[in-house]
Amino acid sequence: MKSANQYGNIDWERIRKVLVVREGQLRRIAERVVDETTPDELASEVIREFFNHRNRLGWDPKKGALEWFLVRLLDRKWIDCPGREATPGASSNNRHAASEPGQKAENRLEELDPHELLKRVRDLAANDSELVEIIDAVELLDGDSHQANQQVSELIGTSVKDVEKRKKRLRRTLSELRV
Amino acid sequence: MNDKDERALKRKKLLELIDALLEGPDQLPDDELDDLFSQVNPGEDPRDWVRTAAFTAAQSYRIAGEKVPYHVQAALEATKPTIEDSSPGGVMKLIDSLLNPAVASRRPPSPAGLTERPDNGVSKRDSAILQGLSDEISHPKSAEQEDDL
Repeated sequence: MKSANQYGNIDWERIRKVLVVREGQLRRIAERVVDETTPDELASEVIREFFNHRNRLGWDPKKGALEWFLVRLLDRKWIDCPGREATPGASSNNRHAASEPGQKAENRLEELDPHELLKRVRDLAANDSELVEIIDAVELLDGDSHQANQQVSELIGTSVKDVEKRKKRLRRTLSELRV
Repeated sequence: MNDKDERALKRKKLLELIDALLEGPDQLPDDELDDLFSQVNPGEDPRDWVRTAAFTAAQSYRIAGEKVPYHVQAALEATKPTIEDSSPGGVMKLIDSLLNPAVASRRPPSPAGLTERPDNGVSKRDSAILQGLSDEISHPKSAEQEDDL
């Protein structure tokens, strides 16, 4: 039998933080790498939708952590955002929004080639050879991001800890750079 | 593979690449997560934010005459303010209100609270009269003083 206890072990404080930080990361990529903007409040929108949906947007605790589920949902919304249908009178901070009601806006995120993304990030971090090394190694990965640091450390011959430190620097570099 | 599948695969690859490059925030250590969060949303109490969102959703369900779903109830329960969340001053106020439930405020008495609101519609003259009455209540005149009047 279902009860509130079934959802009692969720760390909501952490979920809120994770979603807000994820939104910030994606926003920086959109603004500084793709020269695109995304609507505000995606993290808030995801949590509100989860509460407002009687069936929890289809999430089942047996299938995985809510944190992971909501991050994926936010990611999908982020990619979809610039392509939303324009509605009459709707305001948008998206500079590529459709000009006519019902017209599909250009979605530069959706069209972005992964290699092109890496090339642009590499250009932004060009002054730091250790970061460029990380970016080059990431390009060679097979797509399993859970083992990414281990694989990158083996590729460039350093420790996992050093990879984590460099990635921390890369996150900071991306957040400080201006377009 | 049709267009839709191809697009879905491309999106998946793009997001995996971003994860590999920057790390998903779900993989970040707590201290860095806290730092990044306070940079993005300075001053926000995440627990409080979630509680407000859950409370608003619960209200909507109630207004619609529906039972509040378990996942919303659980979020309200999980984000309930606790005594540990309160500041030392807040804890003292809470204890004070429990020990002295009849004492609502320790501020000096004011004439029916009228002097505290600038838009109360009371003229300066009336306000002075009310203040005088308030002083009388605070410092009652002796019978001797009453006789002098």
